[in-house]
Amino acid sequence: MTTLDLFAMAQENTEHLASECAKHTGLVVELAESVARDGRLSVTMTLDRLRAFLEDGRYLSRWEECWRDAAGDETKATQLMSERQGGDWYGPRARFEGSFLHGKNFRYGALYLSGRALMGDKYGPFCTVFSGDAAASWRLIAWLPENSLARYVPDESTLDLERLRREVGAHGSRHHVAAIKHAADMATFSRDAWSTMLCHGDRFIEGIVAEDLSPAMIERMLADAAVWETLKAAARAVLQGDDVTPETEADASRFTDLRAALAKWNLREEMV
Amino acid sequence: MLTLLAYAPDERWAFARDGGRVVLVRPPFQNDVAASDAEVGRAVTVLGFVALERDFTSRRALLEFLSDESVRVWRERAPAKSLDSLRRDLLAVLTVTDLDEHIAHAEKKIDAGKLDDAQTLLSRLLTASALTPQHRAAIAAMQQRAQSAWREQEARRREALRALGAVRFMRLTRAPLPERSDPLKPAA
Repeated sequence: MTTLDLFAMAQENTEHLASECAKHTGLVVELAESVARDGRLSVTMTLDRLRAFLEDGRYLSRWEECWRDAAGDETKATQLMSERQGGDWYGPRARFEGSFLHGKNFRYGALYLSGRALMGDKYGPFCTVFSGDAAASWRLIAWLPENSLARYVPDESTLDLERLRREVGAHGSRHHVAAIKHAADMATFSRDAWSTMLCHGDRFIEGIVAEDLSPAMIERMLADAAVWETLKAAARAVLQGDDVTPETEADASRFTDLRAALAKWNLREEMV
Repeated sequence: MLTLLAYAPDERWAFARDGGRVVLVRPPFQNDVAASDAEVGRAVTVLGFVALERDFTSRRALLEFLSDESVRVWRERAPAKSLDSLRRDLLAVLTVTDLDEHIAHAEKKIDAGKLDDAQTLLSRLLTASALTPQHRAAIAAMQQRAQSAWREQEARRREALRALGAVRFMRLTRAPLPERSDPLKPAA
């Protein structure tokens, strides 16, 4: 039975994080101020998930996608989830999400200050950055100093709850989570590199949200330049000639769909 | 031997096990990126990569699979449409900036002497929804340039043929000079 509430735990940890952060001075405090002012939730997406998000107007968790495709049938949705995620990958995530209220509605992102965020490296060529105003209204949001699975789920049967309780922060404490995590990194990273320090490759501060995310909340839409150029080149090839490969035609079609979906929300891509 | 672990079909990105290490294989497929099992797990459980464990005897076979999948998922999702229909949809969604870029690209084609390509692109851009009067003027000016360039090319070609005696030969055989497409003629 799931009785743990990650978001309530985050709220309850506010004072503890603030007192931990108060032990630091100088650049650590400046980092905290910078994150408190500019730190946003960013969500990296594959092309297909971004298109679906913009077309449908809702960003679904992996569970919600399965419920939708199973027409609300719980058994079928569970089966779909298992099939889509493959046995080895599914277990630890199911352990984590299954431990919490709203677990199946968890949407995962990363703390973003500026720069490329997690996009383009390994997780997908697009990144939506959600506005500070939208985030300020969310109640179901929590921040963790690292990838939750790697840090708190060493195996399928274990959840390191003690550590989680000590480290989880509410949205209003995200700057404390960041400052505590990176206090020892201040000598290594210059101020200009803080955004990379916070979010790059497999190093990030994880944001978990169980609120509905709408494209209307997007502040910036970042696109990996190489991938976007490939799509644009395919579009040009279709405009220019009649002899195009099916792959080029598919990419031109993807560009068309994405362009239309972006226009629907009055969004413009920023190539990074 | 490569073992596919998970992939994103639209992007043609794939996590694979190559010997003892996990890598991300992605276009342009020149340098693989080192990855970890934890990253594959996150890509599958959070980002929506398709989990599929499958062995490939060569890298080429994996790339062919990714290419085929890219087309398959698109065909499965999108209703079938002709190239003309796709072109119409595309022209309806191009932004002013997209048009600027395509016109600049057409100019490069003219500079490179690829006049047919440039003309086809320019004449199709004329039906774009976001076309501004400035675009229209730029396209008209470029079409003029393409026409001049085509005439110059044609004159040089005839001169070269003449030098080779081909004109005389063709006159003798009453064969006309081979036709070339006119860049002012609208594309289909």
